[in-house]
Amino acid sequence: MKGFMASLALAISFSAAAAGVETVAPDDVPDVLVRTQRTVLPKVRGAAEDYSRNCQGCHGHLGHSVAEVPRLKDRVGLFTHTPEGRAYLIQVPNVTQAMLSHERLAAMMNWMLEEYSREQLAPAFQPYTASEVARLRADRLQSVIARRREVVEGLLRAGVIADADVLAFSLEPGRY
Amino acid sequence: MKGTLPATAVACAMAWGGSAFAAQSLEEMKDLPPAAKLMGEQHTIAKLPAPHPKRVFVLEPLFPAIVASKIWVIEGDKQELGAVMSAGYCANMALAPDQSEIYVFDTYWDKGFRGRRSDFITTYDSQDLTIKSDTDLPKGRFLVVPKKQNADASPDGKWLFSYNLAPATTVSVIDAKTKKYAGEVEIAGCGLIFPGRGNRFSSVCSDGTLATAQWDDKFKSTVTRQGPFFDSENDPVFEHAGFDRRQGKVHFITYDGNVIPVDIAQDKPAIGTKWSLLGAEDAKEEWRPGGWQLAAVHRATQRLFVLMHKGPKWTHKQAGEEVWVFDLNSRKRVQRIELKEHATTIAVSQDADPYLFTQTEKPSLITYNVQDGKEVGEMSFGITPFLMFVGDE
Amino acid sequence: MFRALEVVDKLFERLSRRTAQQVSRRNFLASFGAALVGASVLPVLPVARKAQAAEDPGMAWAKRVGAQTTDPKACNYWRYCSSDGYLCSCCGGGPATCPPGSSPSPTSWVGSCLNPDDGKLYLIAYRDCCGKDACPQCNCLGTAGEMPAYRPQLNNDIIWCFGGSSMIYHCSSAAIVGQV
Repeated sequence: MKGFMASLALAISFSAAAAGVETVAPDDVPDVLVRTQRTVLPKVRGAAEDYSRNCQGCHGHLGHSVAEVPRLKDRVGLFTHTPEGRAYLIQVPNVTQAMLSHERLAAMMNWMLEEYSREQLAPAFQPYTASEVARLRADRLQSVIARRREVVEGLLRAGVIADADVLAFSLEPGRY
Repeated sequence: MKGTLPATAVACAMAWGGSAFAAQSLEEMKDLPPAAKLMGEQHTIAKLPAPHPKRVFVLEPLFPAIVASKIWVIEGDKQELGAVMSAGYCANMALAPDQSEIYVFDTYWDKGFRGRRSDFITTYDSQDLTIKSDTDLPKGRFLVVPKKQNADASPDGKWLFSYNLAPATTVSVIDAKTKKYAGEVEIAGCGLIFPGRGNRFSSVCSDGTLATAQWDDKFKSTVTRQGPFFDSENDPVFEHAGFDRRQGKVHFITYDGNVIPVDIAQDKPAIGTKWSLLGAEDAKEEWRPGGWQLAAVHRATQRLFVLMHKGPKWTHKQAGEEVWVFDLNSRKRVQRIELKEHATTIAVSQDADPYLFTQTEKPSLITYNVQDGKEVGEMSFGITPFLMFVGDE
Repeated sequence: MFRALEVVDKLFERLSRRTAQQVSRRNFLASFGAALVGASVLPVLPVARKAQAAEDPGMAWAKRVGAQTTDPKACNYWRYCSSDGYLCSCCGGGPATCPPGSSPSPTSWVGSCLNPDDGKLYLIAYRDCCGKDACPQCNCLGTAGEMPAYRPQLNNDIIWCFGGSSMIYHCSSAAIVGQV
C-alpha cells in the first residue's frame, strides 16, 4: 500500500508539474498521513478554488465523473458555439445559484472552459464578463431539461455537432 | 391432570379480538377430539387503537444497519410501545391526512445491500399495520439522512410527493387514491416539498428564493419563483421549519434565529416579515436554534416550538438544551421548557392538552406536558432515531 | 473596518515587505489565524462579536475542538471539520482509503478545514466509501460551513455514493484536494 501510494504521489507531482500547477511538498504539510504517504498536494487558488468548492464534487477534478453528471471534459466548450448554448452554461442551476459573485463566476467559468475543453471552444470565443453573467443570472430557467434539449438541437442545426449523442448524459438514476 | 381449560384463559383469548385461530367456548371444546384440547392458548394479532393525537411515529434510519430502517409507533398517552415497523434504506414516511394510511418511501436492493435497486412507496393500514400496496418510484428517490419534507402527503389527501436528487432535482408526484405515478416536476436548484393547496407545492432554492410548482389534470406543470426571501449564503433556513400543514403556513427558521413566515395556502404564496427568536440578552448569550427536526407548531393555539442551544455559528446541528415557545401572533416568547436531556428532534401533539415529544441524544423519547413543562415520562428505544410524526399535524 | 483587521493589515504590510513573498491577503489571514489558537500572542486579538462572526468556519471548529494532525481515528482530526458519519479510518481504511470490500464514490462535496499546525486552509473532499452496509465505528459530526441539502454542494447529510459500487453507505472519508 505504501509503495502504491508513493508512486501515486509521484505520478501526481509529475502531472501537476507538467500542467504548471504549484505544489506543496509532503514535508511542508503538517499531517501524519501526508508525510508518511509522501502525498504531493496542489495549491488550489482563485478560479481553480472556486471550481473545486462549487463544481468539482460532482463534475470531478478531471472534468468528468459519473454517468448521471454531464461531462465537461472535451465537451462543454461545444456549448459556446451558439448564443443559446453560451447562455445555457451560466443558467444551469448549480452555476447560476453558486455562492459566487458575478465577477468570480465569470472568472471560474472561463477557467473551467480553458482547463477542460479548450479544443471545443467557439473559434471567436469571448470570455464571459461579469455584466453578461449578471444579466443571465437574473433570468431563471423553468425547465433545465427542456432547455438543454433545445440547445442541443440548436447545436445540431448549426452543424457544431453531428449527433445529439455527443452531448448525452444519463437522466435515469443509477440502479446500483 | 384433568383436560379442562381454566375459564379465564379462554376468556382472555376471546377478549383480544382478531384471531389466528377461532375463539372457542368451553362448551364447544367438550366436543373436540382429545388432541385439539392441547392447543392451549389461542394466538391473536393485536391492532393499534384508533388514531389519536398522542400517538407519535418515530422514524429511525438505524445507522449501524442503514438497510433496515425502523418506525417506532409510540402511544404517547400511555407511554407505551404500540408496534415497530420494518423498512429499508434511508426510509421516509408520511401520514395520510385522515390518518387511515401510513406511507413509507423506501429503497432496497434485491440482494440486501447489493444487486438491483428498487424504490417504492409502501402503503400501510394505520391500525393493523398490514401492507395494502407497493407503488413503484421509477425515478428512484433522494438518499439522505431523512428529513421530513423530502416526502409528504398533500393535506387534501390527493397527492403523495417524493424528492429526487440524482443529482438532477425533481419531485415525483403520485395520486394518493389510485396510487398511480403521475410523473415528475422539475425544481432545478431547489429542494424540499411543502404541499400547498390543490395541485401545488413549494420548495426552497439555494439562491434564497421560493419555487412553487403547480400542474393541471394533464400533469403539465409550471414553476414560479419568488424572493429571495432569505440570505442563502450567510443565514440559510433550516430544512425543518415550523410547518402548519393544515393552514398552509411555513415558519422558516434561519441559522441565526430569525423566523420568516410564508403563507403557501394562497395561489401566490405570501412572504411575511422576518422576526427574531432572540432578544438582546439571548443574542449576547449566543442562543441559537439547532438540532434536526427542531421546530413544531401547535395549530390550535398558534404556538411555535423551537429547540435552542448556546453556541457559536456553525453549530446548527447541536442538540437543544431548551425548547422555546412563541406566540405566532404576538411573536413573543411565552414559555421556556428546560430539557432534562438535550434533544435533536421535537414534535407536539395537536390536541387541547398537548404533549411535547423530544428525541434525546441518549437516545430516548422524553415527553413533557406543555401546560406546565413537566416531564410525563422517558422511554428508551432505538439507536439512531431521527424524525417524529404526529397525526393531524 | 475593525481595529483587529487594521492591525492585521499593518502586520501583513510589514511581513510581505520583509519576506518579499507573494502572499495573498486571504492566505495571510489564514496563517495569521493559527496565531489566534489558544493564546494572546498579540495585543489586539479580535474580541468583538462581529469580528468573530466573520471567522472562517473551519478555523472556528479547529479552535473549539482542539484539532490535531496526528490521529485520524479521533473526531478532532483536523480534516473532519465537516465530516458526517462513521470514520473509514476506524473501519480498516483511512481518510483517503476505502476499507477492503468497499469502493470510493467519485462524487462528494468539497469543504475546507484549517490545519492547526500551519494555520492554512485545505480543501477537503468528503467522499463516502460505499457498496456494503455501514461500519458502525467512530461516529463523528462536524458542521463547519455546512449548508442544508437544497444546496447539495455544501451538504454532508447526502449519501455521496453516486458512481460507487452501490448507493449503500459504508463509511466517511476526508481526502485533501489541495492547499488553499
